[in-house]
Amino acid sequence: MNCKSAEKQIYIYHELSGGEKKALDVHVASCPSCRALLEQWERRAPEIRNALDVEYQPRNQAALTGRIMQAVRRAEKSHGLELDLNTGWVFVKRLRQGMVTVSLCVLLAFLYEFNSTPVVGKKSEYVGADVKLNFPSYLKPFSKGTGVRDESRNYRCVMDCLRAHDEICADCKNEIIRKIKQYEEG
Amino acid sequence: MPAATDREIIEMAAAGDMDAFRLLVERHQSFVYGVARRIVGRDSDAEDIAQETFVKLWKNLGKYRSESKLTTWMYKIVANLSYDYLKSSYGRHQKYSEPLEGEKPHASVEPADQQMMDREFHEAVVRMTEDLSPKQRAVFVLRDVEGLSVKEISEMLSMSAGMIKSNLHRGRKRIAELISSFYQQRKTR
Repeated sequence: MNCKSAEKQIYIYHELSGGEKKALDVHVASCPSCRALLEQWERRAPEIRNALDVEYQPRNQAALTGRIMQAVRRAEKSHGLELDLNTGWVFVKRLRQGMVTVSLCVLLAFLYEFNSTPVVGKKSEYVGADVKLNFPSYLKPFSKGTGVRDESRNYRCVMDCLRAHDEICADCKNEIIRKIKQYEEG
Repeated sequence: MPAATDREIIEMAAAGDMDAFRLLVERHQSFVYGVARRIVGRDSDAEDIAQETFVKLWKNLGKYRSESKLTTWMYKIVANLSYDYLKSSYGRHQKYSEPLEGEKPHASVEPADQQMMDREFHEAVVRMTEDLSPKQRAVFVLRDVEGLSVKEISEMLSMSAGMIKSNLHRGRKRIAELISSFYQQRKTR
């Protein structure tokens, strides 16, 4: 055992196991500085214990009792309320049913709106500035016939233009305008 | 009823008898307050913890096992609440970072006799414990002041024995260092 590991055990000498105590004793017997440290701590420990071993009493016993009893009564009341909520299963069941009904209504309203006619927010000379708040209607011109987007070539062209120049080329623009006109005409 | 045992009183209180519980509070509040006061170090905080301890006791009266002592059960509640309090308030209170700075207001007072020196030492040691971390302080007070065994503290605070010993080592070492500087300062006065 070296001094470093001995120092870790000196302050907990009385909490060590028999074997650990023996090993520390052997080291302390041959090391004056560790022995001095152990002896010093053995002197100090009772001093500290005595200094802290004070009988504390509440400043006002009766007031503290009253305060504790008030808190207990408050806790009792709130505990009772918790029980009412837990045992009032009829109330909870109806609340749950109501919430499910409201959620279903909201979902149905959303689906109805989703399939209705498009809402155009703004008309502009720039194609991209037209806001169509209806996704199926927006896809309609691209999915005639096969039911899938059949303008993939133009679509790729538009995407390539955007990637390369951050704007669309005249051909793409014309193509899109043509498609929109075609859609508006029926 | 004053002659009734704790077990009898608990049975009555568990059945909803508030007067019986009041008797239990009157009987044990000094003990609960004392433990909390020694761990947290402040009167008002110790009163809060005593209050919380009895509220917790009231809520869990039905879980009380008659084979264990009531004081052991209360010890566990109050020690845990005090430890939780130390953790939540750690750093908010002024710490004893400079050992003898905190004692400056008393520095000009010459200790007239042994009693005064003892009082000064007591106050200094109490302030020194404030320099410990919550874990170190709780373990230190429960072991060195309350005299509980490492096993008891381990069960009470749900910590391993190794952790208890390592916190005990650090706490005691720190206190020893602070006491050395306290004595040194006293010599130079």
